[in-house]
Amino acid sequence: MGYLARRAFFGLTIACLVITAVIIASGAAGETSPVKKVDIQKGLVAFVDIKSPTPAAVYLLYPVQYEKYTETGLLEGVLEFKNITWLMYPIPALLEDQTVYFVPKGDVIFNITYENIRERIDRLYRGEEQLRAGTEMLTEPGVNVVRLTPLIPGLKIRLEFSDNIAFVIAKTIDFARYRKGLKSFEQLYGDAEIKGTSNVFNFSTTDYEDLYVLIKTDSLMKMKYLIWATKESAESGC
Amino acid sequence: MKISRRGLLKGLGISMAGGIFVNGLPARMASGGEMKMPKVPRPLLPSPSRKRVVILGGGYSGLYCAITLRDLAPDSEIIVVEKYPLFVSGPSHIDFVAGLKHLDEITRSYDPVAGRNITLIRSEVMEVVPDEKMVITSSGLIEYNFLVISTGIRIADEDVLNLIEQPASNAHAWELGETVEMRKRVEAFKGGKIVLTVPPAPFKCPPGPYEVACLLREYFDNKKVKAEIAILDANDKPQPGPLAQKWTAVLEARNIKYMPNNKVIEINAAGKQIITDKGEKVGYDLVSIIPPNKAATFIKEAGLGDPFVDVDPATFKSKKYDNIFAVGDCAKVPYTKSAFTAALQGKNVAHYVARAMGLDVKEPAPIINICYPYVSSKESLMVRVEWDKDGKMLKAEADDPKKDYATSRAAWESGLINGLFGA
Repeated sequence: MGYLARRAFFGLTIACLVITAVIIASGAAGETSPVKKVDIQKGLVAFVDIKSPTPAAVYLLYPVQYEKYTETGLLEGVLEFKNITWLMYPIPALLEDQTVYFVPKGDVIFNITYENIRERIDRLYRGEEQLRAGTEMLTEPGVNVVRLTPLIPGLKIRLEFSDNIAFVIAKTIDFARYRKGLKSFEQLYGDAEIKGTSNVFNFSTTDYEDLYVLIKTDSLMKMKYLIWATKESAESGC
Repeated sequence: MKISRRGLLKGLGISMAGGIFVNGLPARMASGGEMKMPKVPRPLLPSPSRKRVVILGGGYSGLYCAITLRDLAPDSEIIVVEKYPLFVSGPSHIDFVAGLKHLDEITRSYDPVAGRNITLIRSEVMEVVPDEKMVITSSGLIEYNFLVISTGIRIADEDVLNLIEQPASNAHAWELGETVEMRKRVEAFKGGKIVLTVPPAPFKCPPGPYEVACLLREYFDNKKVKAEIAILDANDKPQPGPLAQKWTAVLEARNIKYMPNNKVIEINAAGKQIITDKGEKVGYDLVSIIPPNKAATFIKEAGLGDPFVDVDPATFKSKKYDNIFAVGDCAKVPYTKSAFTAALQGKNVAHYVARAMGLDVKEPAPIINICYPYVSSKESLMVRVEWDKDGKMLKAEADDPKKDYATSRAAWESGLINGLFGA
């Protein structure tokens, strides 16, 4: 796809997203998909792929949390993914069978694939690069923050934005200073080793530290990140 | 241009032989070519007269390496550098905080280890100079033929805003002094909100934070002290990840509030609040923040890895230096950061150091991990993991809480301690 075509495609996508976001906000739409139960046998990893035409929220619950949710309707203390249009989340069952429940708030489509953990690790050690996690979300005008975690050395990360934007990749303490108002986005940008103004950015992790992607944008736009495991990351404790 | 220490000594007409007091080591050339002569301490020991192995850190991995190597390489000189005067078993920090054990039950003198013809030096490691085969400690420099780094983790207080400036605001069970302080605060607690935080993985003793929460629940219930206990976890699920399903059930049953994906980035001690990266402000009456676990800064400065020592997971040998090894929590290996794997890594690395000395030593068995995380003082979970010799996970299993496992836990830790110091 050429550059102009890509821009037009992204423009159209954003327009659709804006319209749908407005509809959802006004409460006129927002059909919610049913709860998805995922059973994973010991030795397998489930890759849960969730897509939504509009920004949705999805909550991941373990059995005891789901039981509580069905009794009380409360989603406290559970893992939440907010404002997503795509999510790829792995759930390994390393020690025993696992069951999790995905409670969507929005219209989402689940696609679940299973892989044998041992075979996957073997392939990783043979040098295959494997998609490990990913998320696509809608960002709002202003500075948006996305935490990349958990990280280990040797992971490959790709960031995609629907337009050229300024971004900074900060470590926790710099993000804390930003959050407290001790540093501005511009100061972080000036100091950061990893930063840019583009619509695609690739880099590799060198340690275990969480990273925060700070994105400055004037308009609604899409952000996507993809994380690949490598042989090096396997040796670091994948 | 690089000038070696011996080269410099030769040029100056002095030598370290016989323990001559030397100043001005090591010599380095700054990048601009100008000679830089930093202040360097005097030698702590004479140069090695036989194969000298210096082990940095007298925890489980360092001590098991030392005593195993003593058997495998009886003619070698073995030196352990440790900053603390006494050995305190790490897993029981949790027991101590919850009032299950006294410190004297888990504290040992290093004398039995020293009695095996192993030299214990109480000092702090400041720098490793691999090219010069020397370690600079707070008491002086030590030359080595082989170096084993087993300094464990460093608690990175600097990663939580205000924690360095207000150290008294926090206490946790991941360092000895902090553990004693936390026990005092637990004893003085009269009721209210307790907030325990979990750092991002990897960190030492992954089930530990949840064990502390469970034991404090039991402790305060027994004391009839009303405590609201919450865990703020930087991870997306309780650790280690494969135990997440079991932990969520255990925490729920004990009315312990669990908040995943909430990383503490700031403490406001005056306002008794901690702030997460999501901007949530959580109030507390008693707080226990476990800051991120990193490795000693000298590792990165010596070019041995960042943040952990880059090693071959099979032999624990540095990827850069054939005479440097690293084990336990400070090594970049796929094994769990637990006392049990640390002990086995220590035993195994001793074999590879002996082989590097040219000794005919058999291949050690691969690493396994067994641990019994507390869910109460009377019940523990069980987890067991096996790896192959290259660090690839082979087999893993876990079991629900049982009384038998609490008994096994006691035997498990006693076995580790007695293996070093005798019963």
